[in-house]
Amino acid sequence: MLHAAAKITVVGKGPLGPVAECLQHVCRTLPTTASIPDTIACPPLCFVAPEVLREWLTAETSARLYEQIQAALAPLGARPLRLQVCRADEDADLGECLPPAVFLAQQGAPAERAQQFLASLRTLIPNTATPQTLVLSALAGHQQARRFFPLGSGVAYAANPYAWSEYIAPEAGVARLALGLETALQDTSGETFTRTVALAAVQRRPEADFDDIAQHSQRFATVLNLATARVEPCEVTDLLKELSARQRELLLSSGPSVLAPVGGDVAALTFDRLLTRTDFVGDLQRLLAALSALFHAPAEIAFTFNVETTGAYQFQLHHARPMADWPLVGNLREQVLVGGVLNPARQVAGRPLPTVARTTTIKTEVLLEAEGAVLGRSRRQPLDHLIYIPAEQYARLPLNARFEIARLLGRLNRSLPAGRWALLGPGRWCTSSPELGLPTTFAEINRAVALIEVVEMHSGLTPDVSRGIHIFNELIGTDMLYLAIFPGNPHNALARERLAAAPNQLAAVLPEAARWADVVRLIEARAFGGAAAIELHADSRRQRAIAYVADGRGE
Amino acid sequence: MGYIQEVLAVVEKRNAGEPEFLQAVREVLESLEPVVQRHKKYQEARILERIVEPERQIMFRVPWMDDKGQVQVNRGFRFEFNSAIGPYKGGLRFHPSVNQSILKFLGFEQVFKNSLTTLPMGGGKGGSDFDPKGKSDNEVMRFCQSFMTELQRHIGADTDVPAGDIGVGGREIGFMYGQYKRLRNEFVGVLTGKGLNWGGSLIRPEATGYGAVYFAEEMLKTRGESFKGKVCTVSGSGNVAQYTVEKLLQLGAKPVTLSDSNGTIHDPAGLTAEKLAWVLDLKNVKRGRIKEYVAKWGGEYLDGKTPWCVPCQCAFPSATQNEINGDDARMLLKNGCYVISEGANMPSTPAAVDQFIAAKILYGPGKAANAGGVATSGLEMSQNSMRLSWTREEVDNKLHQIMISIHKACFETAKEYGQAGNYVMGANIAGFVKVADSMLDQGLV
Repeated sequence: MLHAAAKITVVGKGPLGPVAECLQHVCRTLPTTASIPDTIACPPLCFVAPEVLREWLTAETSARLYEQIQAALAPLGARPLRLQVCRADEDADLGECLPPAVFLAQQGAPAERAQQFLASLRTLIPNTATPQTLVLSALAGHQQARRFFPLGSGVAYAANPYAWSEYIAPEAGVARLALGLETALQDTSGETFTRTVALAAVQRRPEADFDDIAQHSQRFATVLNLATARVEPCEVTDLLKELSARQRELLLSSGPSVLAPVGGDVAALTFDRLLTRTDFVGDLQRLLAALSALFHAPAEIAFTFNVETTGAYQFQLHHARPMADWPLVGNLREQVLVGGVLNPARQVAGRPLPTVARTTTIKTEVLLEAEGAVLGRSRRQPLDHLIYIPAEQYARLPLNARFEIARLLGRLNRSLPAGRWALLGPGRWCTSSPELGLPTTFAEINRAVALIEVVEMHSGLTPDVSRGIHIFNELIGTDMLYLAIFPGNPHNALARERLAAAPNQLAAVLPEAARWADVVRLIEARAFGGAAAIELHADSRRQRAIAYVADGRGE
Repeated sequence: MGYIQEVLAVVEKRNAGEPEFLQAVREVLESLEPVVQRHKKYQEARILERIVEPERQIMFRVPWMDDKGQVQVNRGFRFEFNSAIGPYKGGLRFHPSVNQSILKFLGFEQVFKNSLTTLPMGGGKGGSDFDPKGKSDNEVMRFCQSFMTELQRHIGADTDVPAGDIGVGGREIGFMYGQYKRLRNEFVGVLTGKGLNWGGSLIRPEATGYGAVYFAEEMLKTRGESFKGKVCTVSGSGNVAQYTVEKLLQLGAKPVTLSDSNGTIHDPAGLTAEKLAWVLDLKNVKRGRIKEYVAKWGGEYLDGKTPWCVPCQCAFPSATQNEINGDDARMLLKNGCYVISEGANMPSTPAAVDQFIAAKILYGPGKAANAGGVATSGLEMSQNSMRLSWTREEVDNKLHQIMISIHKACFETAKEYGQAGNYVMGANIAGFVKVADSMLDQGLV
């Protein structure tokens, strides 16, 4: 089916950078792609080239500047806007992390909107030396009194980095959905849950029962307050009240709860009927397939969607690019990491995308290697610390002492700065059964960037790998990487002796915990010599990960 | 080598490779030293050697078909540990980690837990290495039906009455009960944790919290005191904490804290019925964080802290294991706390327990104070046998009586062994003595 051509304007000249060019190409190509259903469209788009953006950010305000902005915004109509900044320099690559999108209410007459826009732009966007392209897209959505919001927002990946079950084919893709603006999807505080759905196994959920589902459903959405022109949180239940019965039916589910005093059902935002009783999932899969074919690589997208009172739905595509990729090639002692991996032969937007040569040969120590259970988006993560629990020492502890270790880890979690440290230890973490692993709560480990389960306990018990199922929503909600090491399996290794020999900083950080120093080892990256950080590379598509001591040569 | 050490040596030899079970046996037997020293009858009848051996252990194949039409095979277990004081009673656990060592360890502990409730319930445990997480409802149903197809030969309302445990909630109990009924053509109380419409009991969610408060009330009575006006700290904000607060309010106390894994709310004005209703809606319906309480009702939020720094007279740890460590215990005692009733399982570290016992405060250990949940399973069995459904008030009254009995058993046993007021010792010994004496009475079986 041929669609109406996307309304695309480009303000200024010069290269826009790979991310913006990729989206531009997609939105020009999509209307002519036969496999794309008519429920999917690109919104009106405006690309602001780096030179123009710099001028908008730095020039003295003047009537001429406002007129220029007013003219640029005109094709987008009188609608709230989504803003995305992307690097436009030569070194930029398609896989880089983008700053979170921001949203503007854009109310009033055109001249007024131009003024609001500039004021917001200068507050929201740092003026860096790096060339940046601004991508503006018009938002469609619902208006309830002063509140404006797309009914839902989503991100989707053609290769599922969260394939936690053997029944979930990673190549079938995954989507994360939230009610309202996509801010909920960007929140990594662990306070906000969204719906993660494997596109080929919609009804397969990691939660054990409906109470678990309700516990991990979205509670707060973000909306644009048109009166204050601010993004603000509001309770999902408040937004849902104003929707039609049909809309609510598509989004809400109810199920039995044992928490209620006399049993009874509770409701939770699951999007279940939208996912199972309409072609929503099929449409997403067709879109991802078409884009992946276009990129010659798995695609990732950001979109909003709206559902009419009749139940008919429409997607708006705001962002599309190949997925970030960090493949690992080579053997254990001579690993070659290829970052960014932009094939020079790949043609997008009619010309080759810039290739980023990021090949690192590791000739220094590999601390661990894992294959088979990697959950979370592929990434390259520097680590300043490792918290290592040796299985041999832990397995000797009586069960009561294992709880004490869990509480100690909670104190360490609060003592270390958030991020740049990982947890490494035996069995399942966050288990209620201390005989099987570490009986922490997620709140006791939530500031780590990676959780590495070692599938061993003692000679009589090899705990089954959890694949992070029991903390699945928390892992996604904090963007924490999960992986499991299967000692003895190919491509799985742990440098136990090296980790055991490294100086332990536990007593320095928590003096009262010194007596547990043989069980809890707080290891600084610097202890291994070389550069200041341990590098952790994870490739969830190929289910492999490696951590090594960086040799300081950089890339 | 003493008798207990001799028994332990044999147990270790016969159960090599089962560290969880061995550890549980060691902990229980070592706590029984004063009993076996005083009563040689247990040694003469080799009660310890018998009590560590399950009466029967059943292992079976559980074949089922997944949604792709592929055959899957899991392993099912039931450890019928001890039936000296009643039908085997204990949960079924569905979890990939389930194995012989873990189920034996859980089954062994269940014998004494059940005994302490003063109800006629033996001990058992069972389950499968099946993981319900990630399975569709249909897959769970097919698995449960296959599991029960074999298990039904071994259980019965007067033989063995399994309950739920990890991975076995209302859905799984329903599927298994349906299959049992179909195969046996009888509607009997063969499982507990059933739905209210088909044989379940009221007061299940409330039982543990209510029970912990009833136990504390009995402890206070030994000093001629009541809850009237007492400032109480409560940790957690789940079912146990919620109903602890509810019962405390009914008895005239002033609960001032609740918590979750992120922090504690402290309301110096005290929670009220209205505030508690709001908390119940927040936690059970909206599934929010407890810190939202402060925005609605005032007070302070103690980020990352437990309630034990808040001055109180009574403390109710109702959240998780080891939530009170040695430092917390010192702080509680320093602030004047003299009643602790554990709604959670093992919330106090050994260092904390030592301080409570040394300070001679009223310390009710979890194995006694949180027995209300297990007791309600027993009450569900009773209702099923009588073909009656009791009202909330009836179940609550019976729960109250059970907690009074548990307190009495612990209190009097501790006194008998020269440790008046030591509820830890009282609970350990009372649970054992009832089972051991019943085994003696029933001869060599």
